[in-house]
Amino acid sequence: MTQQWHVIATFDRPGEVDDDQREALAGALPGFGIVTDDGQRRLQVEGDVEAGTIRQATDAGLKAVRAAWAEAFGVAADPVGLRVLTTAAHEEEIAHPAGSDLIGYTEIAQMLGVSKQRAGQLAELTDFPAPLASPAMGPIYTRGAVEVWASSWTRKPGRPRKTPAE
Amino acid sequence: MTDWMDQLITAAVRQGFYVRQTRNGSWIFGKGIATLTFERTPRTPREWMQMVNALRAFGLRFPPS
Repeated sequence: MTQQWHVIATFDRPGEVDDDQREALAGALPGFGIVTDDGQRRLQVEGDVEAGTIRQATDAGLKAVRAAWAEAFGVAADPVGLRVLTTAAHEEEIAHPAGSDLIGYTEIAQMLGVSKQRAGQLAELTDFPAPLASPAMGPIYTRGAVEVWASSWTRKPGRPRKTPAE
Repeated sequence: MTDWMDQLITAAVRQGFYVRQTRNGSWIFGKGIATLTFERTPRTPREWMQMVNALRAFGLRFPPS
């Protein structure tokens, strides 16, 4: 008996990638194809395959993403990472983001190379991602959302420190 | 389903995403240098959940507050 599996593969970004290539890649993936391009280093592709066991799903998924890549880019490539999970597990995952994907001001500050106070100020910007939750300890964001925002954030030089009074 | 897509697009554009549909029916959402490409308009509840989840990971607030 077979079941549906969700496959997520990550490839190194092959230099410049245009919309036509991303569209071709999404269209060549099995199931509902999704292509995530971070614009810098990675392309992530997602699709669904039918298989009996996880081993068979892994084989089918790897074959499918390789074929989709070759169709879109005209060259063979292997993913640098591959995840295979049942659709039930995938639905559970997207309904409840994993702990490591959730960050607060401390992690945001580390990510951006700013102080925690500055991270809180940046989080007030209108284009900053909305928090997933706002418990008393402070707002919680998904790491991916902040990373996407950070990819187009331009650091502005701060006010120079005042010299100490003599 | 069309209404869902309209709401998603409206929210995305208002939140600084650029959105377009290709001649082949694919959807392209972009913010900054990052891009999300969906093969087509979702057809099932699961596919809708996947699209919304992927966009939320990009920072989309949906439903918008």
